[in-house]
Parts: sequence; structure tokens; C-alpha cells
Amino acid sequence: MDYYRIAFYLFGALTVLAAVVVVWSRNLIHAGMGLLLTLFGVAGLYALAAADFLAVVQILVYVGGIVILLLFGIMLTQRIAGRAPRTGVVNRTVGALIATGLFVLFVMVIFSARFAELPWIAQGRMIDRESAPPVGSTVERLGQLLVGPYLLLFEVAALVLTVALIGAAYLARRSRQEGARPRRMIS
Amino acid sequence: MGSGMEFFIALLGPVLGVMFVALLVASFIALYTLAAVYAERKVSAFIQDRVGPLETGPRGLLQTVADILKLLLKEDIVPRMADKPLWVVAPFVVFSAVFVGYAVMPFGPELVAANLNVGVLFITAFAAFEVAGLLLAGWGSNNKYALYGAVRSVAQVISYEIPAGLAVLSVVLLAGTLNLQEIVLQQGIGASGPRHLFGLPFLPDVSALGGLFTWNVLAYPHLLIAFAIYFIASLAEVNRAPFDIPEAESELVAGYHTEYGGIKFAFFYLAEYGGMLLVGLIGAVLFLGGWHSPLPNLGPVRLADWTTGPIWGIFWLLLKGFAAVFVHMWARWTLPRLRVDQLMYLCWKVLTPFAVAMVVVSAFWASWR
Repeated sequence: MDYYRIAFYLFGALTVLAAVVVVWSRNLIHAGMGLLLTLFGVAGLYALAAADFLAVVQILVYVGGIVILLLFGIMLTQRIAGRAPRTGVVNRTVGALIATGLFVLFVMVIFSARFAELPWIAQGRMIDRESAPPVGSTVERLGQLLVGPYLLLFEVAALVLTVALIGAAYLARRSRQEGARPRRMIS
Repeated sequence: MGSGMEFFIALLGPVLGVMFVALLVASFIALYTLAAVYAERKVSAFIQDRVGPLETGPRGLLQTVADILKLLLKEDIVPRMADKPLWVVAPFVVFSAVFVGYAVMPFGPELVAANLNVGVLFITAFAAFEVAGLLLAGWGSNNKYALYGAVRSVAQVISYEIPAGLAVLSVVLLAGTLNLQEIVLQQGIGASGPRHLFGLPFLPDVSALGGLFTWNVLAYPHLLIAFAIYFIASLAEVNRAPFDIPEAESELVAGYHTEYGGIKFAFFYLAEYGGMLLVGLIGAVLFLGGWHSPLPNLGPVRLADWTTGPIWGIFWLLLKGFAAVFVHMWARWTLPRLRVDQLMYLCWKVLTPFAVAMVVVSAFWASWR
């Protein structure tokens, strides 16, 4: 057992246990916090795989952005607007069938993949862990790839996000008639 | 049996070493907070023409010590209707999120706990956990003031992360690295490549002078605006006045920490003051030369060389950080609180466009250099 392994199993356990909370908790806020911990655990696994940039971005985007907004939304609907979201169990049989089917499918895919024979895994296994140079920063390489061969995809993703932002601003905008209504009701 | 013990010692040895260093930093933050709370009271008193704490100890120096003793001795009360697990962990989540930032902070040459290649992003990312902790506190308290405070705080912190992030980006573009230690090293003597005064190629090369002249704000003058944007945004990110809408005492009692008392309240205080120092240190590292001395080498008087070293590094960096904390206090006791709409106006219509402009200037500068 070395530190790498201890850390790997710790982050793995955190990811799985928190995911269990996400699925089983009836309290949406607890589920949201579970999701936060799951995504943090995944970030830890990325860091252990020497993907430093990916790990930090995972925290920045998922923990800092998505989960916080999710919790924000739950709080605004549940306690401030006073409406409890539905958290009951419905469609047990169909749900169980689909879940079991997907589980079997995934397990079959994983076991038929033969990871050991994949070229990049085999290549990685050839490297001597003692004498190999330490893995450097991935930031430069990622940056060069993003403005080099993947420039078009990068720009398309940026465009999609901009469109989403404009769309959100348009939907949230108060139209003139709507803005006038509350005032009329008060008077 | 013997080998089992050896195994555990070999396993725990480095862990204990890391824990010792972490404990050292944690105790430093605690002591600094004691001093900062006292300083805040005295600064506020002088600004408002009062005298401040006076009774406990000489010149009231022991006032905050007495306060912390009171907090430690208080009964740990959990509100009956609180969401207990969330309520209990919240102050520790908030403090840890701030504390983790100190791990990547370069305090001097060779003096950085975790010399990460993505240090800048790391600090920004873990600020997210602070936001999560605030939400937990607000939600777990089951108190409308706490919840409104938390919701306001999160809206504010998330909004101001954008101008702050863009201001940081304008430095990162010129530095070409996300490593905080490398960003500092570029701002002193021995930086690779010439550094002209104000970044203008017809002015003399100052990389041999060091000191103040090689700091980012002087090497690239437009970063002075970026620094101002970062400083204002960082005030909002640590919920300090004039951006203390989340804990506006005239409207929300105390915001997200309304229900907290005793040691848990003390942790919120540690997080607040630790956060103030942390954003001050980040500002110093990115714009003001980090642990480099402000004194330049002038001919045979090698002031920069004489005042550089591990101890000097800690001294200069903390001095810059404390100066930022002092300006935080100064702003708090001078400026009135913003309204919510003014807060959003300032963020989205003033700071963000200027920050974007700074990024564009940095990008052109970096490509034409």
C-alpha cells in the first residue's frame, strides 16, 4: 500500500458513497450535497491520474457552477417559494427493469472491452514507473491542442455557450406588460 | 508485530510532517485573526473619531483574547429545527475552503507547500467550496434571515468571480503560466528575458534593478486597472463592506451566521479574516511582486539582493497582504453599503467590461512582445 493507492481508494469510496446518498436521500438538499461530494471525488481521481488541469476545472465548473446553481434553485423553490418538490418513488417495476437492463449492459461492455489489449494502455504498461520522467503540467499541451487541431470545436463550444447565455437572459427578461401588472394590482 | 509498527511509522511519518506544517499555518491564521479583529476595532474607532477597546489589557490589547475565550467557553447550541448535519459541518467547510488556498501560496523562494502547475485555478476553484459552505449554513439554520443572507452571498460571490477571474486572466496571459511561484519569479531579478520599464521597449531594461520596477503593475501598466478591478471584486468575494449585503445587520440580523454561536461562530470569523488575507496575498502575488522586495538594486547598494531570502520573503508577502487587509478595513468604515441593484450594476456593467478590455490588452501585449 502506497499513498497513491490509499488516496485512490479514499477518493473512490467518497465518490461511490456520495453517489449512494444522491440516489437514496429524499431530502433534495442532502442529495445535492452528495452530488457535490461525488464530483469532488471524481476530481480527486483525475488529479491522481496526473490530469491536474482537468481536476481543477472539474471542481471549478461542476462544484462551483453547476451544483451551486442546482442548490440555489432548490432553495428558491422549496423554502422561499414554499413549494416542496416531488421526491416520491414512482413506476417501480419499469424503473427496476430499465436500471437492471442498463447495469447488465454496462457490465457486459466493460468486460468485453479488453482494456489490456488497447494500444495506449499497453503502451502505458511498457513504461518503467521507477525510471520514467515525472508527468509534467498538462496545461501547455491542452492549450496548444485547443488553439491548434481542435480550434473549430473550441469555437463552436464557445458559440453554443454564448447562445445559451443570450437565451437565458432573454427568458429571464421582464417584458413590459408583465412588469406593469404588479403595480396595477397594488393600486 | 515489529514490522507492523515500522510500517505504520513509515506510513504516518510524512503525514505527520504535513499535518505539522498545516497546523503551523492554521495557528498563524488564528493569531492573525485575533490581531486583525483588534486592528479592525481600532481602525474603525480612529476613522470614526472614537478610541476603540481600552479597558482589557494595555490599550485594550487583550480584548480579542477575552472575546475568543468567551466564544470557546460558550455552550454549543443547535437550533431544534436546524438540519443538523448540514448545520454542523457548514462553518468547517467554509474555513477549510479558505485554508486550502494557503497551500499553494508561495511565501518565499523554495517556500511553497504545494507548487502546483495550476495554482491560480486551484484557489479560484476552492472558493466554490466556500460558497457551498455558506449555502449549507443558510439552509441548515432553518432561519429566513440566514437563508436570505446565504442566497444573497452566493449570488454576489458567483457574480464577482467573473471580473476577478478576468483580471487574474489578464495577468496569466502575460505570465504564460498558472503556477503562482513562477508568476512571482518572473517579477524579480533573475527573470528570464528583459523587462523594460512600463513594458515599453524604448525605456531601459530594469530586470537587473529588481525591486518595485519589475512588479507586474509597473512592468505592464494596464495591469494597474486590472489590479483595481481585482481588488474591488475580491472585497465582494469575501463579503466585506461596501459589499456586506449578505450580512447587512440592519436588514438580516447577521446573514448566514445568524444562528451560530460559540466555536462555530469563531470558525466563520476565522474564515472571513483568513479570506481577507488570502485575497490580499493573491493580489500581491499576481500584481505586486509576491515575496519580492520593493527595494531595487541601485549600483553598489544592492538593496534587492540584501532583502531577499526565505525570511524576507515571508515578511514582504505578509506585509503586502496586511496592507490589503488594512485597505479592506479602511473601505469598510468609510463607504456605505451598496443596494442589491447597485451591486449587480457595478459587477456586470462596470467591472466586467473593463476586465474584458484588460484581457484584450494583455492578449495583444503578449502576442506582440
